[in-house]
Amino acid sequence: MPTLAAAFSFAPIRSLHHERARRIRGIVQPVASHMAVTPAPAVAAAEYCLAHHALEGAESAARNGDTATFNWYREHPDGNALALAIATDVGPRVVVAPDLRRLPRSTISETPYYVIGPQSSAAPAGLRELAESAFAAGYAAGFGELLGAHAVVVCFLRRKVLGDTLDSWTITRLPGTVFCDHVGDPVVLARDLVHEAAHNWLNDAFAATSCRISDESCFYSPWKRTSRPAFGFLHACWAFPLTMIYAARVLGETDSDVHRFLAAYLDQQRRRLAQTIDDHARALALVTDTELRHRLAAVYREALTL
Amino acid sequence: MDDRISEFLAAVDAMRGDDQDVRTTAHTSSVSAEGWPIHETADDSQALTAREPHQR
Repeated sequence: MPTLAAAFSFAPIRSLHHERARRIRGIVQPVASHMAVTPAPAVAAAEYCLAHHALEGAESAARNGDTATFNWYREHPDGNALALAIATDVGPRVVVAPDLRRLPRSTISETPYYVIGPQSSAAPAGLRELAESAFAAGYAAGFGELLGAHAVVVCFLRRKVLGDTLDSWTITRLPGTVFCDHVGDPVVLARDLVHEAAHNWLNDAFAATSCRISDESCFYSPWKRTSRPAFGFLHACWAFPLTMIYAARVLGETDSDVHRFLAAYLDQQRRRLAQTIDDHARALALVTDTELRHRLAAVYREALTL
Repeated sequence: MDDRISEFLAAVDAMRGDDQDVRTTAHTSSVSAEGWPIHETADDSQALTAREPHQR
């Protein structure tokens, strides 16, 4: 595989983005006319992400009898998100930093989450600039296509310091949205954006290819230090190798603590990935789509060479 | 209930159909603050979870 962009550019995902966004728009805003023309991939990816926010927001409002909010989503099927967006090297991004005490929790996720809505406001300028710089770092390292299509909304969680545990997550009901802590450094933030965008990519890839990964097979995960179902194991063996590739590419451009941090991280990941070699081959066999399987294998192999 | 809301919810339910599984991909990472390189007591985990009615 010549470039990372080739790994991320996957026609079934592009079709999924377009078709799913169009279907959701038809539900949220049934009386409006909807484009039959296929938009550019980056536009389709943003529409796909924002449509899921509108769907979740409208559904929550509908189930709570909140007609005013429901109507707002009908009038703003993209969640009015572009009004909140900043320009970055990978396209317009929505960057928010909501009050964490007010993040909703519900059956759609075991983690807290955030849905763009009428009360949303952009993150403070410092965080917007941090995100802009992080996307620039990711783009320069070759992850523009991944981040462009799979990290459309960034929801900042907590400010940490290097060495703290950094939490980040994605949920399948809000594809293209990344929830993450940060340490105020764009190069470190880009690592976590790559990681979470990788999860979003793989969730989309499984959905787009109708791959159903059986949970009957389990494999030892050196990240979790326990046996995990194949779905989680495959996710880890995709997302962590991509952060290794990212770290290896940016290492030479960093210095001081960030350099030492990323070098230590890369070393840590090398040791963990090495423990998965035999199991990864068996887990890959569960991926029924040949093209997807090849992409997962290619990235994994590249990380093993680092 | 407002007819529009009823119709909307029916359409949502129809779209979700069998697609009720919700998986959270949560990842926590840590590299020790003890100067680096790390020591392996640092917690680094990935949890991929789902639950009822999205139980897997």
